[in-house]
This record gives sequence, C-alpha cells and structure tokens, in this order.
Amino acid sequence: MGDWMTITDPGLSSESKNLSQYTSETKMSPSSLYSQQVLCSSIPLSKNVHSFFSAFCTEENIEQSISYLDQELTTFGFPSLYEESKGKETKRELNIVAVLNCMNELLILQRKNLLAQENVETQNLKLGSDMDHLQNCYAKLKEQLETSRREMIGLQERDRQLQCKNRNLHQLLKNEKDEVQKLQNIIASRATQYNHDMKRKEREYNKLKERLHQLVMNKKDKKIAMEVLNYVGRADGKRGSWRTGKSEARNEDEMYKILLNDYEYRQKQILMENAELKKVLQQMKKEMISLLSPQKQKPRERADDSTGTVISDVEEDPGELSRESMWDLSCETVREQLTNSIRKQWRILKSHVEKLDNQVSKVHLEGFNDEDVISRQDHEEETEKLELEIQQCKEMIKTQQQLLQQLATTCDDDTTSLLRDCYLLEEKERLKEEWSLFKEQKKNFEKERRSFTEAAIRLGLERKAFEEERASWLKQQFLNMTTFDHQNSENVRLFSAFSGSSDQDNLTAHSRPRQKPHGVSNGAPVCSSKFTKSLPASPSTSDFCHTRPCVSEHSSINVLNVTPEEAKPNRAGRECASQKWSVASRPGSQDGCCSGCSLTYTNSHVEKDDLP
Amino acid sequence: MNFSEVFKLSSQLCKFSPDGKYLASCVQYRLVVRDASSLQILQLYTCVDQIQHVEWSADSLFLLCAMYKRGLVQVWSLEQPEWHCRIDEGSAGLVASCWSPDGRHVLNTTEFHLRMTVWSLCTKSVSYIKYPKACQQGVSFSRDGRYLALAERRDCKDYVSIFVCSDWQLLRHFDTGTQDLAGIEWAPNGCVLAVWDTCLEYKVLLYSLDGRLLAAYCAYEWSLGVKAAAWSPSSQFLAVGSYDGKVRVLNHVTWKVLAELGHPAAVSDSRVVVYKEAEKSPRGSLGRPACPPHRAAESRYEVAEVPVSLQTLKPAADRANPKIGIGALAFSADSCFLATRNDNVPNAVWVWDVRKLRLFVVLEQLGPVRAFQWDPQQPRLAVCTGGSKVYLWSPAGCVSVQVPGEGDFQVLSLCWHSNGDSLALLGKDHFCLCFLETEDGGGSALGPPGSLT
Repeated sequence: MGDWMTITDPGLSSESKNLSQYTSETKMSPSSLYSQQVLCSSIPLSKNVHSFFSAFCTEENIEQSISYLDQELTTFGFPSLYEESKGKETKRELNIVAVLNCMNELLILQRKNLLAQENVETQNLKLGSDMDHLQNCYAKLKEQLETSRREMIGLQERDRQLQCKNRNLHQLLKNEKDEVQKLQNIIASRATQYNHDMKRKEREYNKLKERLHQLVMNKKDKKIAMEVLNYVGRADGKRGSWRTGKSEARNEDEMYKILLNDYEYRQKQILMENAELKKVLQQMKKEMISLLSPQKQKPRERADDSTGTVISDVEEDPGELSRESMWDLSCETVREQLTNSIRKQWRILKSHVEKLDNQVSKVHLEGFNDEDVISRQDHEEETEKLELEIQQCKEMIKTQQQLLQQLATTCDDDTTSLLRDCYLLEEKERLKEEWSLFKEQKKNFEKERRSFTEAAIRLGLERKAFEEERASWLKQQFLNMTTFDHQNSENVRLFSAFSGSSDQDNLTAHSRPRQKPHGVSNGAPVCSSKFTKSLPASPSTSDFCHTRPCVSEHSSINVLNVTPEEAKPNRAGRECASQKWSVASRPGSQDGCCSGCSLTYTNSHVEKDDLP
Repeated sequence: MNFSEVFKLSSQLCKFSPDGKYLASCVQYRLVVRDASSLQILQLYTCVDQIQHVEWSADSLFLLCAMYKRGLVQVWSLEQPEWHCRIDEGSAGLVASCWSPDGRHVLNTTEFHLRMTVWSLCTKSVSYIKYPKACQQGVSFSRDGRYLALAERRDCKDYVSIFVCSDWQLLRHFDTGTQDLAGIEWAPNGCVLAVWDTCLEYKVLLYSLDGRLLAAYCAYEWSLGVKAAAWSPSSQFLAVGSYDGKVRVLNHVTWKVLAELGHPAAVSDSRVVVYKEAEKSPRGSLGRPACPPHRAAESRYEVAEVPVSLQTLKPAADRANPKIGIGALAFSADSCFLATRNDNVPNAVWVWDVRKLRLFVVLEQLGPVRAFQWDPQQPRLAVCTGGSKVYLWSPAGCVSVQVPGEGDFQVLSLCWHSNGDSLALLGKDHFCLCFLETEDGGGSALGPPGSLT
C-alpha cells in the first residue's frame, strides 16, 4: 500500500498540476472561448488518465489494482466490482457490467464536477470583479469623503472669515451711524445756533435800524421834503376822505364784497360746468337708451335675472326724462339716479359692443354666405325684370315682323303695288332702321344686364365692407366712450356678470342671418318684423345713421359751446400769423385750439378781470 | 416787420405808457417822451442827475424818475410840462420808488428798508409804513389797484400787511409761517395772495384777501426750493419754478398740484417740436450786397429730429445762487401757454401747452436766453439772447429776425406795446422799435430783414 502511494503521488500531483494549469488557462481565457477550452482540455485529461492507468496498473498487478479500486469504490458507495461470490473460498469474479457502470457513473460524476467547478469559477470571477468594483467604489468614495472634508474645512474657514468681516462691518456701520448721528446733531446744533445768531443779529440790526430811524427821521431833516408846484386832483376827481372808523368798516365791507363776488363767480362757474356735464350725461343716457332700446325687447322676452334689472331701469327712465328741470335739483338727489342709470346703460352698451365684436368676427368666419344670398336675390329679381323686358321687346319685334310680312304679302297681291311702292320702300327703309335700332337696343339691354350683374356683385362686396366698417366704427366709438368710466372697478365686475347674457345674445345673433331669409321667403311679416325689431344689427343701418350724426353733432356742439369766442380769433390769429411767418411752421399746430371747460373759465375770467 | 431807427438809451430805461400812446426813454439825466407810433419827441425833461428808474403812472399822466444815488425822485406831468414835483428822501436814502395804482402817490423805500414813505401828489399828507422787508418781491399791488400787500419783518418773523390803496388804511395784518419770506404776489383777480419762502426751503402759502390761510404747499424738503412763481392771467393756475428744475402748476380750486413739468435736457416726446436756431449758410444771403455787414451771421430755425439733447451748463455747486432751476416763467395772455427757462439749460425756452399740461415746443437758441415776454394780446412770445436778433414764436411757427442797423445792436431786453403791435428792443446804449402790424403789408411780414423805415 505504501508503494502505491508513492507511485500514485506524482500522478496525482501531475493531475492536480494539470488541473491548476487548466484553471489558470481558463482564468486567462476570455469567456467566449471557454467551452472550446473545456473541450480541448478534456483531451489531454483523458490522455493523462490513460497514462495514469498505465502507471497504476501493470500486467502484474491487475488483481491488486482491481481489488484496490473495488475497495475504493465501495468506500465511495459504489457497488462492488466483483460479482457476489457464493462461497468465500472461491475467487471472486470481476463484474464487467459493474465496472462499466462504475466507470460511467464516475464519468458522469466527473462531468458534473467539472460543471460545478466551472460554475464556481465563474461565480468566483464574478465575485472577484464585484469585489474589484466595490473596492474601486470604496476608494473613490473615500477620496470624495476626503475632498469634501477638506472643502468643509475650507468653507468653515471662509465662513469664519466672513463672520469676522461682517462683525467688522457691523462695527464700522455702527461707527458710521454714530458719526452720522453726531454730524446730524452737529448740524442741528449749528442750525439752531445759526438761527439763534441770526435772530440775535437781526435783533441787533433791528435795534440799529430803530436807532438810525430815530436819528434820521426824528431830526426834522429839512431835506426830507416834497417840493411840488401845485397839488393835483385825485384821479377819480373825489377829495380824499378822512380815515375814520366808518371808512374802516367800509373797507372791510368792500373787501368782503370782493371776496363774495369772487366766490359767487366761482360758484356760478362751477354750477355751469356741472350743468354742462349733467347735460352731457343726460344726453348720453338718452342716446344710449335710443341705441339700446331695440335690444331691450329681447331680454324682456327672455326674462333673465340679469336683464330684469335693466328692464326696470328702462321703465323708470321715461319718468326721469320727463323731469327736465332735474339739473336744478341739488346734486345729491339727482346724482345717484343719473350715475346709476348711466352705469347700467353703460354695462348694456358694453355687452352690446362685445356682441358686435363677436358679430364682426362671425361675419369674417361666415364670409360670403350671407352676402351671397342677398346679392343673389337682388340679382335674380333684376335679371327677371330684364328678361321680362327683353321678352316684351321680342314680342313686339315679332308682331311687327308679322305685320311687315302681312303688308308685304298684301302688297304682292295687290295690283296697286306700284302705287305704293314708294311708300313701301320708304316704310321698308324705316322698318329696317327700326329693326336695327331694336337690335341695338337688345344689345344694349344685354350689355346693361351684364353690367348690372357686375354691379350687383360689386354691391354685395361693398355692402360687406360697409358692414365691417360699421362694426369697427361702432366698436371704436364705444371704446372711445369707455374712458369716462374707467375707474369703476365695480362696473367691470358687474359687466362680467352680464357677459353671460351677452353670450346668449350672441347665440341669437348667430341664428339670425339664417332665419332672416326664411322669414322673407315664407312671407311671414310678423316673424320677420319681430326679428328686425328685436335685433339691433338688422335695422342698424338706419339706427346708426341716426345716432352717428347725433353723436358727432353733439360733440361738435360741445366743442363750440366751450370755445366759441376763443377758437375763432385764435385761429384767425394763427392764420394771420402763419401768413406772416412762413419760416418754420408746425405741421399739427392747429390741433391745440379745442379743449375742455377750463378754457371757458379762462376766457370768461379774463373778461371778468376787465370789468372792474 | 419793420424796424425804427436806433435811439440812444441809458440803463435800459424805456417804457411804453399804460395807455399805449407814449414811449418814455432815458438818456443819462434826460427823459424823452415820444409818440409811440410816430416816435416824434413830444416832451423832454431834464432831471438833476442820471436817472436810475423810470415809471409811468397808471393813468399815463405822470412820470416818475428816481435817482437813487441822490435819494431823489422827480415827477413830471405830461399834460403840464411846467409842472414839477421833487421828492427828497434826504439822509434816509432811497433804494426803491414806485407809483401807487391811482397814480397820485409815490411809494419810496428808504435805505436799509427802514420805512416806506407814501407821498401824495394831491394832499400834503405823508404816510409811513415801518418795517418793510428787504426781499426779492416784497411789494405787490392787486391788479385792480385796490390793495397793496407788503411783506414785513418784525421780531424775526415775517408778516404781510394788506393796505387799502385809496386811503392807505391797514386792512389785514398777519404773520406768515415762513422762515424768510422771499416774495409775494397777488392773483390777477385780487383775491388770493401767493407767498413763497426763501430758496432754502420749499414753501408756498396761499392767503385769502381776508388773511385766511387757504393752502400751504411743499413739494420736497432738504433742498433748494422756490426760484420763481407766476400766476396765470386767469388766476386759475399758479406756476412755481424751483431749483430742482421743475415747474409745479397748482390749481385754484384745491390748490393741489395739477402737473409737474420737468425740464430734462433730453427731449424725447415725439409730439414736441424742437426749433433749433441754426446759422444760415453764407449762400443764403447772396445777392444783397447793399446790406451792411453784420458781425453776427443770420440765423434761422430748423425743426430738429425729436430725440434732442439740449446744451446744459454744469453749475458751480459751491457758489451761492447756482445756475440751476427754473429762473423765469410766464403765462401767455390767454393763459394757454407757459414759457419757462431752466437756468442750467440757458439756451432753451420751453413752451408748455397749459390746456394739455404738456410740453409743446422747445426753442433752442445759439446763445443764452436773456429775456422773453409774451405779447399782451395774443399767444406770441418774443425772446432775446443778447445778440443782434430778436426771436418770435407763435403756435404757427417761429422766426429769427436780424435787427438792422450799423454796428452790432445787442438786444438785452425787450418789452411789448400794450396792443401787441410793436416791440421795444433795448440794448446797452440804444433802443429801437420793431413794428409787427402787417395789415397793409399782407404777406410781406417777414420781408427782407434789412428794411428800414
């Protein structure tokens, strides 16, 4: 047994070497070549095994080898290589099947082990790489930690420094403040001292003045005198009056009279201005009502909550209007009513303007549809008319032709043709002329018709343009008017509340153009009239034509009222001046001549000044 | 536009009579009265010394000539040339003399402002008013001639006394809350008196005729304050020019600021027209060889493109009366325009549109503006810069006119005739009249600037 061991040792060691070689090989080899390597390495292994066997087992020691192997295998739990002997004395036979089975099992085991080994190795590799990675990470983090630690230290240092600085600055500031305080105190004390000195000096000065006064004035200075040839009369021709208590009272009276006059004058001015403004407001209200009245009927039908107030307002309007003398009333009573109603109207107007805005956009969207319908209608009517005329003309021509033919035939038949020949010829000529004339007429008609269709198309386009223009003009007009009620935030809020109803209005406005032609074609006058009345847009042309001059007239009146005397001479003067000086005239210099009420005040004031 | 010939003048003493008929001018110790239209000499008075001050009485009947050096006032009558009156203040001295609005009293202020003497030409009576304050503008007569407001200083306090001019009775006497009152001025309607404090403190006080304080206004503190103030002829606005280069327009109802009109050196509003005086190129004056050679080149106005920066003056901060702030301001006769001058932009006149309360026009001259005055009849502004030209602006445009004459006539000051038809241009030693009426001349108003009558 000892011999074998010595013999087997190198073999085993060689195998282990081989294994280590193998493992080292696999370690070195990339993973992709791994399987191949395994295959390759299995070959020398088998060889080794072979050689091992040859060394382990020779011709002589087969028996021992077998028994040894059997022993070994049985200890490892394999079935015995020998057949079960019946008797103990008999020599045990080698069971080849068992040997083969063992071999197979060994091989399988070997393979399994190899596989396991591989797995373990790969795992080992993985773990190794993981380990490396983690070590790297660790190193990095350590480094980071180090740097951040250093940074922290740096920052702490800086912080400390800054704090130090801050403390210093605080100290400085405090010092400066103290300084400022000190300086202010100094200034104040200087100022008081200066004032004090000034007062003292002034007192001294006054004393000196007094003294001088006494010296100069009380000396009965002969030089202080007036030489006059003869005394002249007073400018007003009256004699000088004595200074008495009466005159004093009179002076007081006069002074108060002057003051009173001034106040009265100012009050009058203000009253006038107020009245003017009230008038403007009133007029604006009226205009708004007239502008919006067609719109009112609709909300009434709808009986909305928001419009309900409007209706009530409208209902109380006539009552207010009847009181023409309302601006004679004191402000408090009228003001609220007026402003409130105006505000309400204004809100309606705003929503209306919004609606118009929407309409404009809608017109843009719908484009020609609406216009086309209208123009086509007119167009068709006109063409019908023209066609009728043409028909009539044609008929006339036909009858005349017939008559002519009749005449001709009768002439042929007649023996007295010769007699009439001259007549006929004349007539023929005339008819021919007429014929040509008719033809020309026809041509003209055709031409007219064509031109008319063109005109109709143009009309349609123009109408559309006008619609747009009108809408924009209205919008602008109302936007211009917005300025007077800008500050009223409440108004804005309420207006937003109104916008819901205006949306509804918009809806109806949307539906209108589609409905309108229906109404016309159906010949239902009630329906159509209702529509036209209830909607501001359809009767708008007339309405707005009515209101526009009204507004403009109003504004012009306003301007004229304000500066009638002023504007004219001013302009005249300017014109004359521009005649005179044509060196560098200003392009828009005329614009300055119209302005607000302040001017009336100015002018009238000037007049007033002249009075006394 | 026609120019008269040049007459002699001393101390720029040349005054139109209030009725517009006469023109008084002083040459040394002689007082010359001419017809304002024909310029013929009507009267010639001889005073005892060089005249230092001349003033017409309100009824254009008397003339007052003050000779401060001698403490003497001589009064002349236009109706009776032989009539004379001589007031001697003697050792008390004389620093100021003026007419009362009735034209029958002379108010003399003695030296050191010891007192004010009211001499009557009708009676022997003499009144004295003590303690008048020595200040910029301490005497103010109301426009209707009824009242005199006088600034006084007693016991280191400012007071205002209101006298009735008819009998010199004291009507009101009240102290004003001012540190050191600098000026007083009646509103043209005679009901409000504006009082402003010294430049060290911005303070404007408004008193009613009966002495009640109506309002006090202070725009800012701790800085130099009011420099000049002017009422609009309508009494509606009080324009206050201050050292911060702004004009604040107060209204007559609430006495609050209506507008703050700044005078920055850069004009950027595109609505403002900037007229810039430019020297005419020599080619423009060709073909007029007969014209006497002027030292100064002719000039004209050009409309400048709007972001314009005006020439500014850097004021010396360490000197008294620094050249900053609004030193001159005047409303036009119709109260529609306000002309101002910012002292650290000396070459420019700002014209503001009062109705819109915004800048309307800026005139930038080649030289510093010496004086400007509004036409008493229409919105027309005359400006002079101490050169040989006179400048006129109206809303229609503006023009620069060379004053004809031999040598260099330097217009230092100017004054309008009361009807706005003529303009007296005052130089150092001479004066001439500029006639603006063009009824017969038609469009030839500008004419050749060298035309002589």
